[in-house]
Amino acid sequence: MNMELIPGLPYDVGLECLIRVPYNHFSSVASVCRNWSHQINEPEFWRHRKSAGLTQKVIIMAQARTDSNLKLRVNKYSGAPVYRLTLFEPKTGYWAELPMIPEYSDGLPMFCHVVGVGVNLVVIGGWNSVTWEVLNTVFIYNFASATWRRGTDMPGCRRSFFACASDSDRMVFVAGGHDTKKRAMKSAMAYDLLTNTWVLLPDMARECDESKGVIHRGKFHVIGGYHTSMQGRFECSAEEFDVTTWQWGPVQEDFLNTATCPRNCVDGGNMLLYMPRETIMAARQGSTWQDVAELPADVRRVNLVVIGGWNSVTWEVLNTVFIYNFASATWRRGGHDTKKRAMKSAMAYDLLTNTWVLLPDMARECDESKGVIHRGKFHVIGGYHTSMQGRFECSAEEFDVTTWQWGPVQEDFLNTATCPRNCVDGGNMLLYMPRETIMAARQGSTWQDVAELPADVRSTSYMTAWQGNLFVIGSGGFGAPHKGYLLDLKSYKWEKVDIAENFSGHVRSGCCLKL
Amino acid sequence: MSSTEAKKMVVLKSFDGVTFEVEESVAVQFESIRHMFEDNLAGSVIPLSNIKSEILSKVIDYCKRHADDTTDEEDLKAFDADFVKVEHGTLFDIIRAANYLNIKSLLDLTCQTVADMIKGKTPAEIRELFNISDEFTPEEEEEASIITRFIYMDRYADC
Repeated sequence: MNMELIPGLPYDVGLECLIRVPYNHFSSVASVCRNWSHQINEPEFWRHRKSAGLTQKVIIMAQARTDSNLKLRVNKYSGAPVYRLTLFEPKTGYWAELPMIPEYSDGLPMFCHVVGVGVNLVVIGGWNSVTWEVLNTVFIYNFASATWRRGTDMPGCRRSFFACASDSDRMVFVAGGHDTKKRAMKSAMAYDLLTNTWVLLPDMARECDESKGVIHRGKFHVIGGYHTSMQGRFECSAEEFDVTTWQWGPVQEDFLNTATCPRNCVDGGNMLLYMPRETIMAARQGSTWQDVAELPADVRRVNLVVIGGWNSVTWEVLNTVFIYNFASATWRRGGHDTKKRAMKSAMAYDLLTNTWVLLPDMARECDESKGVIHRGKFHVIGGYHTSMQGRFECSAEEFDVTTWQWGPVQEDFLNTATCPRNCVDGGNMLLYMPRETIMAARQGSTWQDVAELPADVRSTSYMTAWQGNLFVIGSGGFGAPHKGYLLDLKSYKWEKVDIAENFSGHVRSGCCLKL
Repeated sequence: MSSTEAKKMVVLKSFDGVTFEVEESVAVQFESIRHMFEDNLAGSVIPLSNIKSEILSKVIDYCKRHADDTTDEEDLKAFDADFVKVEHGTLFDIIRAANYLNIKSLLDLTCQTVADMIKGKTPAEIRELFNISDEFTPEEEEEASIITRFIYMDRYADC
């Protein structure tokens, strides 16, 4: 293949010219002729480009389209935001929008994972943004040819909220998540971009839903997440997969030092612990668990249990269990759609009679909320509406036990929420995670505060390592425009990044690529 | 005795028979023929049978400027920018000469110039620019242009 690339110039020189074209003009280059198209798809071309120091590290994000005419506050429930892929070069402040996936021209699948592999961008899974159908699709955008292609679908059941990370070279790892019945999974697999095939990994020791996948020190770490019976209760443990030995290491307990999500195991106020398990409510007496009642069918995937509390008027201790669930009720429609709907029903379990009593419905639907008995009332805080999947709200509702009624929705009850999803490898052998107002780094086995988070990105939507820096994009609060910062990992000093208005939308996920 | 007389000179002869006397400190940038004058101090003529005098003169001019330590960086950048403002055929002649003589910095500069010419052009414009024959069928081309449309919402017009 030593034909002239550019007529009149030797092959080598033509190649020298082509490697100097910036990556964002490859769409034109690939369309000039077969020879050029073939050339830029050769791994050798990219190696040559890299060794000549012509590559640039860019950040790709799944970012909500912003609409300046829309007042987000007012239209909070008006529908799900439309996500598209954006590209950002922190060095030059350059922003661009990537073409939509042809099959999903009206919006990126919700909750899809976006990972970089070589010069490819891989979009895995997620939910159809219109029908909420869980997808097992793999779409690959190749920056060399500037085209989308469809990869091989993820085998097995349709999984969502899995941990996902790429070795940046060839493989994409997927672990855990939940199936269509919202059962957490311990299976794991890897997608090989070279052969377009899926390879099964051994199962993890623990099943985990909503874990975070990170490639760290050459191993695929699956951090946090939760077990099926622990819906919503994030664990601190982690497991790591060694790619060279093809084995999972032992479960590391207390890998994280904060479990930020609601707990299911509660003290009944009667010296017993209660915990819902699959179809039953269990109570722990001494060191054994006993079944005390069967869970009603529509709260079996329990998010949270709150027991007891005091009557706000009489201060009498109430022997009741409040349960609400808002995990996925799944059903089929039209033969194949699987939907995840948040629920607004609630009920109470009476410990004396071992019976269930229905509570009136809440005003808002909420998924993944936190329940607290506070000042004698059952508070349901945060969570999100079906159409707002994944966008946690700051509102809360309280149930007054004496009047048996829900109070008005209190907006802005919370100011921020934290999840392990922003845990990233800084590229310097440390893990970083934003927590509330600080950025923490894990060195050895402890987390240390390294810097204060700038106030206008404290609600961090996405974070990634970029050339010795952490790029953090987030907002000061719900509905506020997104701002970006670079944190220098040596000096721990922040540098603000310019973001144009049309790139100030919420970021769902992202990755880094060297182009 | 003036300082210029102390300098070793190299004589180069172009394809069309024109000879150029160049200081060795400038000619050392010609990597591929360096051994010829380093081995032979007698000042014999080195023939460059595939470089025209017009082009060789430009290349020597470029190397003189780049051999001069006293030129500041801004001036050199301005010189380079001006140097490549030549017509297409001349640019390609300079690239071939730089490639033949293996002058790395000149090759970098001129290849970057070609890359910059590609930036912001449509495939058809690129084909016309370099006289590349179009091997794609109209259907293939239409498909390519739809799929590959990269939507830039940049604030930097030159990107």
